[in-house]
Amino acid sequence: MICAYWRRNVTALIDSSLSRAQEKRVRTHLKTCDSCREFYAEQTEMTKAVQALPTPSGPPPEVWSAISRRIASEQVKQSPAIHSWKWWEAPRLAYAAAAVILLFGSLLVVQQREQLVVQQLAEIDAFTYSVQGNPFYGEPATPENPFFRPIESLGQNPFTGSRGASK
Amino acid sequence: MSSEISQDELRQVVERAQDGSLEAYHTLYSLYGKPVYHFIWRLIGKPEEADDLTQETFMKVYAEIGNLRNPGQFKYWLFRIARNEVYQRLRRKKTRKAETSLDTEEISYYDFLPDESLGTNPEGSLLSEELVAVINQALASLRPKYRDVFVLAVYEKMSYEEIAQVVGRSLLSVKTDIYRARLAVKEMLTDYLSRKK
Repeated sequence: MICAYWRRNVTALIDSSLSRAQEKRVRTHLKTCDSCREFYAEQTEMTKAVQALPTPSGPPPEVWSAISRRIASEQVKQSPAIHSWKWWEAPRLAYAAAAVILLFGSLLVVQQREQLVVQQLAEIDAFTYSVQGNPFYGEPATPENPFFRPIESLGQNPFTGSRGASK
Repeated sequence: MSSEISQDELRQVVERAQDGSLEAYHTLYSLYGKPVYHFIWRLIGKPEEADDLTQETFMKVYAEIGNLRNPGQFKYWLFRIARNEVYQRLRRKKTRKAETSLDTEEISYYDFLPDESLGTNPEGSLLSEELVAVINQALASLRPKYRDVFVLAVYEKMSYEEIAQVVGRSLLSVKTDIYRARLAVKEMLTDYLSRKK
């Protein structure tokens, strides 16, 4: 296994950023690899040295004083909280929602009126046909009998020897 | 890193701050003022600038906290603002320097020395001033993308997952950057120690 791979994990081990399983694997590797073990020792030592650098106790009280003074003097305007935002309070969206509702409402009214007109016309037709008869309705035409032919078209009568119908 | 508050409590405090509660906002400052100040101080190197940038960071937090969608992410969001404030300041300095070209002095991130305002550390007292200067120099020589992850990992002791949230890079990238930063710092220390022998 290439040590560069392990060393990335060794530094992560020092920074306590490995899962238990990963930590176990790295520690097992450290037992078998002198080079990585040396790297681990050096990095641990370096970390301690760097962390031992003097650090300030914290921001001086003047920092908070300045912040609260600036807030009090309303130099900074706070943006409204997203979590308390209500969509219907936004004017643009409210207008858009109202327009959509209006559009669908008027479409529904137009559709209902059309249906009413069609129904009324049908009632008028029904009344008219009951009085005058339905001009669109007639007896179906009798289909032509394929077995029937006029006797004249039969030619000579084989029984009488005459042509055309026998008398 | 301050963790004296549960995630639920933090969420509630952030939400109250979002609704404009100054008291809640002060609680957030009490919780995170110190680690943010340390982080800025490590990145910029000068205490007086750290004061100023901490103030700017929290002013921005006050102004923008309403836009934070997930109050549980407050810590990462806060550190990201602090980091951006530092980078903006460094960029402005660089531009100003390029414009004037009269100021020949390098931007010194770590030209500070311990003073009365600094806390005392028993291990720190064992270090010679020279070694402190070497470590500071090593940190200052790091590229910003290495320096911020290094500071967050080694000083602020954040996990790599948390650091990835702050810097907005992948976990793998953070892992690699910290590794490289550690190698660079170690190399400078080794040089110093070998010269001393």
